[in-house]
Amino acid sequence: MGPGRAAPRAAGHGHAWEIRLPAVLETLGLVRTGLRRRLAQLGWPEDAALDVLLAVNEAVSNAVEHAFPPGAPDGTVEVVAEVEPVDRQRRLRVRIRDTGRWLPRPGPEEDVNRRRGLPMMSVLMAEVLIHRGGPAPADGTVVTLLSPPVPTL
Amino acid sequence: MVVTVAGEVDMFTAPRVEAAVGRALADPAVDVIVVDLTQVEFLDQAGLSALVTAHRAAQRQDEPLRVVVDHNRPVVRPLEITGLERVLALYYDVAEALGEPRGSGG
Repeated sequence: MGPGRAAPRAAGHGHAWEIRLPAVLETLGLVRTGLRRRLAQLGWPEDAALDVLLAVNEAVSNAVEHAFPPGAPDGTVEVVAEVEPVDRQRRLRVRIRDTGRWLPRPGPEEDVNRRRGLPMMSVLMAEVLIHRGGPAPADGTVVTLLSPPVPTL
Repeated sequence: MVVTVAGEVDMFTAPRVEAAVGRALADPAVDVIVVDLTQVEFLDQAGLSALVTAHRAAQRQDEPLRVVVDHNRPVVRPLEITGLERVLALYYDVAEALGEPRGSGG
């Protein structure tokens, strides 16, 4: 990679915020509490922060509800949020990864449920990327959310 | 009957909301059910589903379900982006919701 090819991380954006919790329903509130605090630290506008919370909550809900078949209670959900510069503004990149075991072939009902929160995420975020792991049951799913840009402090 | 919901409604807590409204629906003495969401700090897809389920059940029983949201953004925003603001009967305050129903075209 030549000099100047990759945009350097802008100073002041700080380190990534990370949380990794068991894939259980109680995790939803803990993720929101942590992310809400982080967004406040970053001076994220209140309305934009609510949209991020709503979108991340849906992604984590999906992971908690569907990533783990009965009898596999050891799954985790990992959320990593990073600020990145975009067009003289900044946006949040949030990655939600479930690391539990997948049912080898999810039934049609599971697919429908899993998509339920997707329209909401798509409306709230600038971009939603879903990377479903490979055929191995432990591959899990990674959802990446890119927020709309907000003004830099 | 007024069902007051406070705090955060998500996949973990939505069943409690559904149960509370369900009890009101099952009570033959209750004719109008008002769900007050003005103290709700977070509402997700699971919470919205609970409201829609209750709304439909109430419609079947011919007992209107009136949802009080005022300008509470954590509730208004998810209703707005899912289009459910046009499905549910929304009110600004409990008194208004307990009063005469507004015109259905309004």
